[in-house]
Amino acid sequence: MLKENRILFTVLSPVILFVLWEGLSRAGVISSEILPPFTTSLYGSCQLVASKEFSKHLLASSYRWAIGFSISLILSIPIGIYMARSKRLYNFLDPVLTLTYPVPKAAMIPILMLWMGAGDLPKVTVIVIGCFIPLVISAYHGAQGVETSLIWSARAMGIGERAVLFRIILPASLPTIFSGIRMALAISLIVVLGSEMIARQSGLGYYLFNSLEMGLYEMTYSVLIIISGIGLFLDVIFSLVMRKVLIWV
Amino acid sequence: MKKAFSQYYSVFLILFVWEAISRSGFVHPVLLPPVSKIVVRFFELLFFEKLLYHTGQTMFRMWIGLGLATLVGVPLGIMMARFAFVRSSLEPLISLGFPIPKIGIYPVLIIFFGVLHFSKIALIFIEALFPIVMATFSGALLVERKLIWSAESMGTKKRKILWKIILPFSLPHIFMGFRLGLIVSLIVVFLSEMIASAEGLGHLMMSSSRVFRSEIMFVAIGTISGLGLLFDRIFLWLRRKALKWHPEAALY
Repeated sequence: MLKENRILFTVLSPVILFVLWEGLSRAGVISSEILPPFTTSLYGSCQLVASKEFSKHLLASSYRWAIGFSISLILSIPIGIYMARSKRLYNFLDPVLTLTYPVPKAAMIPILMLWMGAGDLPKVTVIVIGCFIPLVISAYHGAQGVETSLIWSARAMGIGERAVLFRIILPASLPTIFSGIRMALAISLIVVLGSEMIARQSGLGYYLFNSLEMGLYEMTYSVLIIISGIGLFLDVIFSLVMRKVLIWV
Repeated sequence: MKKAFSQYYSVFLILFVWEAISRSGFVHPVLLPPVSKIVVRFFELLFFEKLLYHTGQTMFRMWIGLGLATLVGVPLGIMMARFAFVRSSLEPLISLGFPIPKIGIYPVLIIFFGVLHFSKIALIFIEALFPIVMATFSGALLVERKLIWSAESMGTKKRKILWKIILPFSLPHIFMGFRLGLIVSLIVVFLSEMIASAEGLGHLMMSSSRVFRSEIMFVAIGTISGLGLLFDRIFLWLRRKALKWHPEAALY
């Protein structure tokens, strides 16, 4: 296929999707109460972002997400790397991780709220827990895959333990860690939204579901557009950071 | 037996500490019911109450959604690898759709399909579709061209190439995608039932959390996780069987 054609198809399919959405709704094929036109929803999202009420919820979600995600990163990557270095820790953690990985983490929010009350703490904790497994496992695999000959030759040249960790093991496991971070990113968004939709108090998930329950379907679509935008935005940021950090790969 | 115990010693240790803490009266039994009580409650619910019914509802939704996603996703992924126009028209949609948290679509699905089975099946379908399509696509793309060419030059029919070469050789990747889809759909079915449902394991968890019957909460989340573990094990076993012929079989 010609290159021009390929570009055409690439641009065309999302455009077709949006035109279809707009058209079906405007033509009345699907009632605009159920599916408001794309442009109307987009306009609604712009209005929402500008409104004080919505920014409060957006801020609440982002703040909890940022804290939870950072804690999980700081906590789990060292644990994962240490798991690769210490057989004892591996033997202890590995069965626990295998047994707990199918547990729906966002579903733990009622239990966590039972323990920690209704504030931000359980909502941050659930994010930490949700990202923990993919991050630990990727850090473990990354550190496990480092060539031992590299470590040996570094040691033979008299490099200290700490330098081995920071200059060899960490950089060499970064590509694997980044793929884990990408998975954790996707999971963290599910956990944030899911837990807020379950424990309806504040945040984007709450706002989204609230608009549905109040029958403000237009607003539901507008919030959905914003959420999708956030997901895409984070993915782009992630790719940029990864390209910068992994420049040597 | 002894080997299993020493391998999983940490799990037993955690369960033991859990039991000890909640029996000691250190924390209120509502906050952390003893493991033994949860197990007993599980059997009570199973035999005398509606645990089996709730599990059935959840499994029905999950497997229909996951099954549909597999039926649609695998052919789609293969078509993406075989036909350039399918690939270039679907790739942008997939890379746009992948980072979007699909659980956010759930309210919209409720608007369209109501709060009963359909909206949940649709959500599971969407969630599981992405990993399955992406894995199948990358698998079918990796099938060696030479194999296809030599089959073609020997006059093998298109359909036969698909069934005898492309499908078997992309199988490892398809399995990987299905495994991801399996876990994702388990999580999503439970969440969607917690958010809006009148039956299913997620509903059981939610309704018991409102009245602080924490034992039942642990039973619900334990049942879905146990099923996840069970399906995953069965799946891994099937995969080993199915990929015996594969040159890299030792990896699976």
